[in-house]
Amino acid sequence: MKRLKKTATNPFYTVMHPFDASYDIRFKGKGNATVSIVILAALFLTMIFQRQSTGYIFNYNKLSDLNVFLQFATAILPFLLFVIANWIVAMLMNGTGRMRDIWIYTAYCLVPFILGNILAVLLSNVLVMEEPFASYAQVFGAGWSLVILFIGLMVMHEYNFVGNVFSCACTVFVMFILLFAIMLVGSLASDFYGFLATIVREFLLRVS
Amino acid sequence: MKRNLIRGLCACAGLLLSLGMSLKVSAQSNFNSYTYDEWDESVAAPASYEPVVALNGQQIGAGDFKVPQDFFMDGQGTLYLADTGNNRLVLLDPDLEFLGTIETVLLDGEEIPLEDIEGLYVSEDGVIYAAQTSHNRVLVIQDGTVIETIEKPVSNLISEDFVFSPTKVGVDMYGRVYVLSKGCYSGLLQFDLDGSFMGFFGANKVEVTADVVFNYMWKSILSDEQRAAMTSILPIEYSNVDCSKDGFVYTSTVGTQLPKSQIKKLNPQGNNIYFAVGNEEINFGDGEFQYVRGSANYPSFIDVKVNADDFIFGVDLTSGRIFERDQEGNLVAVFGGMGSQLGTFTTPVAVEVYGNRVYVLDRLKNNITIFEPTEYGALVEEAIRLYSEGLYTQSGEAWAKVVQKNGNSMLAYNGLGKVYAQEEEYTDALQYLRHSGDRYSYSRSFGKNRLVIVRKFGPAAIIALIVLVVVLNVVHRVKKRRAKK
Repeated sequence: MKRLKKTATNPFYTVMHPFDASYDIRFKGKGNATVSIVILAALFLTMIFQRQSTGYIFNYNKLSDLNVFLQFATAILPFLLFVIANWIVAMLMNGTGRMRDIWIYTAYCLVPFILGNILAVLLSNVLVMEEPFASYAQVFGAGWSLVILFIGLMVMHEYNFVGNVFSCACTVFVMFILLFAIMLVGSLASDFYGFLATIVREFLLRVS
Repeated sequence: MKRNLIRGLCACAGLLLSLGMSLKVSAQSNFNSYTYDEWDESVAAPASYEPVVALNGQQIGAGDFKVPQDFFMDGQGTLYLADTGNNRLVLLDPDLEFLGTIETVLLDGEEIPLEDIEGLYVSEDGVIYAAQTSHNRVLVIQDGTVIETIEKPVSNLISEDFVFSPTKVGVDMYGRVYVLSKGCYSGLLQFDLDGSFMGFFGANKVEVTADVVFNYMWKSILSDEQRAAMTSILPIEYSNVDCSKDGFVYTSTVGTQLPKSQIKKLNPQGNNIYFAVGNEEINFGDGEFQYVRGSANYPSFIDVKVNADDFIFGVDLTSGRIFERDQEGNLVAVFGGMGSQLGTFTTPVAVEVYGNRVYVLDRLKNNITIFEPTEYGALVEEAIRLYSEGLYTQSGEAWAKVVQKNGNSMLAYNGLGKVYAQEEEYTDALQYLRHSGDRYSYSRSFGKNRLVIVRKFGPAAIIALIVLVVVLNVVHRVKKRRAKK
């Protein structure tokens, strides 16, 4: 327990010491993939918790319309996109981070975001409309996540500040390109499936 | 294969039979009655108004009507019908019994026919204001004699080429006349008691649609000549006007692109004051749009009427429905529809109320339909009226009855919730307000309930906290001392 506390394996250490943690994950192999999966699962559950349990005053969702798969996609897809896009950009811009490191570190960075959201949900159940503190908690958590993510990527890829800003901008751009590609492939696949289905149906009609 | 076919046919026949039977049992009105839930999706509701009878001119005994454009019910229960195509006014009583006609009036000592009356209004003392569209004037008629005519006013507000073609007219409690002129985008023309022009009143604003934004962008680039060649953007003109007993002017607007504020309640300054809680604009018509060949069929309100209890009735030309809303924009009732059966219309053009009855005039069917509230509809109105009069307990009782009849009624849950909030029973209030989707009231009750809880448990909680801290402290010190030993 004590050993866990002081190393980069502990995501809470990352939250407080992004420089050290990022260095340890990249160059000392301290990151733990299992922990990152647990954090992603927590993210998914938090999204559902937020959708279903935010206090009625702040919750404009139709609770009976919960779609777990959609929630899963909205939680995990941006994460996957970011990791892949950042990895691609790192390859092009001589970043030293590996896919595994980026994955683990990004997952660790989600911890403040998750905690902020949980706090916001809890607060929203005791606050009234005129008290917007729940969203403050959310913004604070998300902001913290972004800051440590930025710092960690800078250390991991051995960029300077400006280089990292440029890299992040490129990452967002690549994310959109990836999204576009996914949609393109998706629609192509569905068209192709339709085409095949038509052929098979036609064939069966002729045969019988 | 064949057997399957036969089986299928049998099933179809059975289905049709059962459908027919169920139709026979359940088809009490010829239109759907519904209300809306929190997400603006329509849900079933009992009928609020039922058609009693629909009579055309022949059945009334006045001879066929021809394209009647407007009618008006005065305070004594006389219905004045502008039988436009026949150049006459027809007088009816509340049961649509024929009372007589007015075909000519005396103007400056000579008899003139009542040609082309498109709108009329009758004041409390029986003075008829008739808008004679093609003659560009409004006739003020008392006892068969024209005592005054309102014609195109001379004013520097009005340009030379302005054509005064009045279609609808309204008279407020002070005797000021509001005239709606065809093709006039500046609002209603307001005339003083002596017939002098006071100015324009309450113009519609230009709706900000994508087209308008695009046009605006172009206009900022183009030269003056090019700009002049473009179509200018104008607000939509009003379609009708009604004056309430408490001095407000209600207007309706046809052909709005954005489904909001189709019915306006104008205060004496000419500003719209008809808003829902939280200053939200009210969509008076359906919450869901019907799509016809890919384009949305927006509600288009052609007439508005306010009854003695301040309920607002609006006629939607697109769906043929009459919507009734209260002063906060809550949907009270929907009835009518498109069709040829009793209680449905082809082109409803005007609505009037007398007592609890609603009269609807159809221009192409040339008939008048009378609606009367059902037990349920009367109950809803009763409950709203009691609440607005401040009789909260009684209104709560009425709402409880409404809930028994319609579990989908958000209005009833809201009413019950507000009543409980008034009585400071916040647990019940919160439950009902949550059903009604009224987050604003819910939030207020929630805040008060929170205060109650804090007052109840707060002192005990603080004492418990202090005790806990002291105990922990003591335990800590004792442990320390033992460790030293």
